[in-house]
Amino acid sequence: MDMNKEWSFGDFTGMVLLGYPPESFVGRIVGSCFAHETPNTEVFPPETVCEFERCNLDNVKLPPGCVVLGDCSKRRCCAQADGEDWLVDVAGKPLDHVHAAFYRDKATRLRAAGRPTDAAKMDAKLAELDVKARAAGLPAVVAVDEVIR
Amino acid sequence: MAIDAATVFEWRPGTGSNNNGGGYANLNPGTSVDYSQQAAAQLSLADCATSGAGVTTLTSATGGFTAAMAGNCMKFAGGTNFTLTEPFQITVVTDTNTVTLDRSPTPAGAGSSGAGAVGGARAVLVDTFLEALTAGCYHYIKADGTMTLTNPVDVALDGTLAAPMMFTGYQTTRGDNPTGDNRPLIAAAANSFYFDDFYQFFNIRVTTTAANGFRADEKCVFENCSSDNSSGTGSRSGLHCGGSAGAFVDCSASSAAGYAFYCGGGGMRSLHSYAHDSVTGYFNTTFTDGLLWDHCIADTCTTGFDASGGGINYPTFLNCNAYGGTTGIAFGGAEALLLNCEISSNSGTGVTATASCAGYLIDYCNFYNNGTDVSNAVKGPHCTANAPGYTDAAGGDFSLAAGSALLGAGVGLGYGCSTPSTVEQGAWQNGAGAGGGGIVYRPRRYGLQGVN
Repeated sequence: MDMNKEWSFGDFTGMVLLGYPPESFVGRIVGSCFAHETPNTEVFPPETVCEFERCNLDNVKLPPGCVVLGDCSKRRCCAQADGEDWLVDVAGKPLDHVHAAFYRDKATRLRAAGRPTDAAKMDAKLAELDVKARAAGLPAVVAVDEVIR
Repeated sequence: MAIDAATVFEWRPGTGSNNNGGGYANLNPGTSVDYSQQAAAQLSLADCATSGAGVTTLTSATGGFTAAMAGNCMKFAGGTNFTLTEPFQITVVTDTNTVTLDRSPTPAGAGSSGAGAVGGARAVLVDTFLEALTAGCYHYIKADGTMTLTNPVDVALDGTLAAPMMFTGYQTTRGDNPTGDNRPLIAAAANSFYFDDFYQFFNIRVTTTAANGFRADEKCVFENCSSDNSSGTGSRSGLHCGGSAGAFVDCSASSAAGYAFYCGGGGMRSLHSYAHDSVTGYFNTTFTDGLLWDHCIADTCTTGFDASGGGINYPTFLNCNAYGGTTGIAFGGAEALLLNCEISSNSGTGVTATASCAGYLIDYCNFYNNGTDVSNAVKGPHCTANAPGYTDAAGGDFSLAAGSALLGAGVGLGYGCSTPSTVEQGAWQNGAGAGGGGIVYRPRRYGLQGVN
């Protein structure tokens, strides 16, 4: 499928594009950001048929004719009472801090690579997020050691 | 071994590939050739192999290695036992079938069927790739399309004072130092875009909704950078220095519900920068001493400059503009200094000091059309009350039109050098239009002298 040059490699963060004709989104859209802050935001016309590659589609409700290929981000996340972004389920229930899994994985990798000081930086970030989460009545942000146990 | 500290990486969002090696150091002068500044890899192989775990000798029956490839980086996209997330550097080319890498690409066992690429520009910044580098590495980012992040970039690896990590944006040719929309754009959205200590950024634009915006920590430098945080969640930042002794130089930033510029440490310098359309233009956490704002503009921010937190001492404001907000400048602590500032059209108070402020000097400043000019403070004898005569304040152009009463109304601040006896009030903008100082950029490595 040919690359859609009009909508590739662009920054459309927070934009609603429902006013554009569906035909303008044909082909493969590469490397663009369409992310929103509110889950299930309708961004594209419902008749849109296209492919996405290396795009940020966080919180975007895609029409059925769209196909998500490799290296795209398609998270459902939104800000919670701690001021941080959290992954949420379909009902909007907060599940985990949006970067918690990243920090946990990274701490593990850095330790394995013999970089305990840098791994501790990730632990500190998780601990800081955990304090904020608990203060706001959110689920704990689990640290790497607890996962290992 | 490790990636050489003099390695320069090339990032091209629109034409590069994250399967490419992307980096080059001139390890064999006169023989090495830079293959990173091209879209396609110079050599792509599918049969790379090593003889065991931890072995740095890489072989390929297909071959194609040349002596010129020494110093170029390789990246592996597949194969048995190959590390796929990091770059490896060719240090020695033995022959067309054999090279030595800076470290083993197969730490867990013998490698086979490795899909490796030599050279070629990379596309999108990736956390694991950046973590594998060495202090001192330099990065060029070309403006050939938006770089969209689909994962966090939250780098724990530090630079050093003598060997900072540097990222420089360019438009067409390395070193062309673009301004405005000609700078490369990184769309981070909710992804963390966070670097640890001793990072320096030049000529880069970022859009974000993340809590920390575009952030670096201790002794970071942002020059000719912009970051706009469009999040509706409060207290998020546009440009963020999380450590001490950093600098914002000729930058612009906004945060719709938070801080355009956020300083988390003392000794922070903000020079020739432009904050706009934010809850707070320039914000400092408590206990941050020695702050300097020089020729900075806060345009339509609820609070233009906020240095009022407990323990903030010695804030200095020189030739700053606080325009169109509710509170122009708020400060506290001891020995605050405001000279040559222009504070106008703030619906609340132009300058407010905390009641506990031990001492301050506000002089040669212009106050105009504020709800109240000062609170808990007294204007010096040389303060004025003139219409500023901006070229186009509503359009973000705070240069002074011909005939402005602010021209020559300030006081010279030179130390041991020839300076005019008077200068203008407010920030220089030199008619360069909206969004900052309009000075000429020469990206430099900030080090032991200068800003450090």
